[in-house]
Amino acid sequence: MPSGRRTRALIGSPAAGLGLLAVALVTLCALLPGLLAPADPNEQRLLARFTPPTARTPDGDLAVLGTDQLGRDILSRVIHGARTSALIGVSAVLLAGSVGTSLGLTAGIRGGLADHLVMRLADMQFAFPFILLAITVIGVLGPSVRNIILVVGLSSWATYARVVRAETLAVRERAYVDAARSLGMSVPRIVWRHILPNVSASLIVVATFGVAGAILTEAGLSFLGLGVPLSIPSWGGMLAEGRQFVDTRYWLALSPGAALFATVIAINLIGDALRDALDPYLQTRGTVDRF
Amino acid sequence: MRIVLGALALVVLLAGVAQGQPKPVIVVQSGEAATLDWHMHCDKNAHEPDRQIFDTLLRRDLKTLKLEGNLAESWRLLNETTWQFKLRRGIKFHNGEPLDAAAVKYSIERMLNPKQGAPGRTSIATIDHVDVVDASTVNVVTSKPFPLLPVRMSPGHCGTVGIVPPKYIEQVGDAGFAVKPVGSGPYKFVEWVKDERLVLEANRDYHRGAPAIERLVFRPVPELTTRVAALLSGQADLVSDVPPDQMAKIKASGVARTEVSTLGGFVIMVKITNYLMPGPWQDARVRRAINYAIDMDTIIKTVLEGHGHVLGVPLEREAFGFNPAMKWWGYDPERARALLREAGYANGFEMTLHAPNRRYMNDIEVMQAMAAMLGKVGIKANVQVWEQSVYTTKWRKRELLPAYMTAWGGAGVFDGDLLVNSLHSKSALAIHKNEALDKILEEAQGTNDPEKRRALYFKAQEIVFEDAPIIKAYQQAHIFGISNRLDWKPWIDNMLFLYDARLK
Repeated sequence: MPSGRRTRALIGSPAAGLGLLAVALVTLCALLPGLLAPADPNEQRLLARFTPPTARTPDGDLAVLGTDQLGRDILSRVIHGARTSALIGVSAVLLAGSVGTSLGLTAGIRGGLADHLVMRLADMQFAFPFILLAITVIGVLGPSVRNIILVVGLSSWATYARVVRAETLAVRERAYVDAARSLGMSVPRIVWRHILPNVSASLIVVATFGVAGAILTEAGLSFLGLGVPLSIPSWGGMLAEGRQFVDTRYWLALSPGAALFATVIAINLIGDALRDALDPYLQTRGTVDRF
Repeated sequence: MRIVLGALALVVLLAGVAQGQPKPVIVVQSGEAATLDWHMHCDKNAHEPDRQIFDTLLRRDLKTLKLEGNLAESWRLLNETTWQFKLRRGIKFHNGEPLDAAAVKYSIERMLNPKQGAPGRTSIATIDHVDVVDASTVNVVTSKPFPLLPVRMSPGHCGTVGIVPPKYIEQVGDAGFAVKPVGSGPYKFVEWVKDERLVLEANRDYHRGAPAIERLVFRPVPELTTRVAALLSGQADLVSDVPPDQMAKIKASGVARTEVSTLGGFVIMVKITNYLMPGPWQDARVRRAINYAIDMDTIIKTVLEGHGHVLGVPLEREAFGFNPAMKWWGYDPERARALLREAGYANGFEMTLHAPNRRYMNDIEVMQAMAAMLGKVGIKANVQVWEQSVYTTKWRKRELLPAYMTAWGGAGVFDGDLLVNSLHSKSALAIHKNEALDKILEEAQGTNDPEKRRALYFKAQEIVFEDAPIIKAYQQAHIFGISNRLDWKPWIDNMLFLYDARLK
């Protein structure tokens, strides 16, 4: 499919357009939280705690989304929380993607023992309960942004490895790959010039959903108290803190929950549209299995 | 969903338990006992039912906090190391076994026996042996003066001696006793269905008269909001540890009320090390500066919604040996900065504050508020919250450095001796060492003369003020949710005691 039509397919879908808009907003918040947030997200004003949304604090400041149990401005925390989510979502996917792609390529091209090894490793990864891994790693290394990226990244590489291996197996039998090989092109060069471009479409789709998954995982870990340190605002952490007040001060959990929900939905919409646009099989088969 | 399921389970339970009988009083707890053998636990959820089943030699008056006779009608110090107890005659265990001097000797020596493995053993380890003088007289002989002995013979959470029936234990063994206890308290054991209910009934022959309530049911409900929901739907009568933000809802419900008890609650403190980890905190001036930098009154007023009060030393205001005249570190950020400059940390430093995850009332928020206030005098404090089991493990290994939040007290002791548990360098919780303080606390432990002991505890508080081994001790109030059909007042150590309770 020519790239022009791809772009049109993406923009043309109203759902994907909405998703792009939301993701653009989150990206903006993640890049420039200091400019957008009305207050320091960690500034406590104990005397202004539990100010409801749209009400004014005792100092006369408008709390658009209210304040939390320590009098911190929830809007500012949601905006700064976008940075945590984006950072973890993108980094974890980059980590998982590069590990998974390298292993998947190796398995697909080498075949034989390497293939067996990588695929059995991937099976193990899929069989291992994630939360157990997370509790162990975070328990030993301590909670920090880096360690969460590590846990989330290293627990999701197997998906990438499987997809890349499958695509590689299909591509490596193509005539042009044979041609390149018979012309004496080196394996790394063949991978770079012919194989990687052909698996990239699937990779992009997997990675898009991966970002949404990683953001949710971070929120889940923060909710369990295994997430980012308290001094870094994060949506999952805010949800966890707001949980105990959910029936009396709903706004503590509402805003981060809504932000999380909207972001994940938006990314998934883009992912769906990307898959529709990039997946050549979809045109003929009409449906495709989810990975 | 959980609330609905919980309520459903309760309805089913009630249909079963209450057939043909008045509706029992239902207490919902955060968890279930592992054992009901008084000597074998230090667990609130086990101690609460046991407080109804078992009894102690002495008890405390609710208003004056003075010790008075209970199973023993009188007690006195015979010589520096011998306490004599005269027992009330005619008291029997629930199975008819006589509660005599032999039973008292058996109970104390059972708990004292290292092979028994009683977790509260160290609290009474000064006892050497017990002599039976006659059927209603026992002499408790200690290896050195033990002024706290009467306290250890009165109701308390851990490390107090409940009187148990020797013949019954011989007959059923420790394992049998743990699941089917027999005591001499106001309520008798009926049945225990694990994870579901523990049923007790009134002991008609209780030596102070039968309790007004016919049946008590203890139910484990782990989720706090579900416990409150059960109270509001009339499926529970008594809930402990209600968070302040739920109070309004309970009050507005029309079916239940809240009762705040300020007496004998946990004393909560942040401990700070002076030797286990190198850093600015090794300097007493820095530790004092940290104390001056924190506005604890505001934290209590806001984060705890007023349900607590600042203490200087980790000792209840009502405790023997507490010095009410001491002026503790107030909120004085200027002084904090000056002390930091003097100690050579004018530009501040970074430190970690380790916090438990919802062990004490709004604990994480208290720590975060402390950290923000430290930030204002240049100390960058990072709050590190640990999952409960990790926190306990790290705390035992003394890895929560340089500072962590913990609590001691609330055990009905009301004595300066509590300082040993929280401040002596050899205590399980300690990360701070001060030899002068250790010596004074040890001396007070071995002194029977109350005036001398008081003077020693006063001196200990002065050392604490100079040395600042803790950051801002405070006492948290305990909030109970009580069904309107139940007439009950919180007990002094915030463990439930339902002898005086009655239905309206």
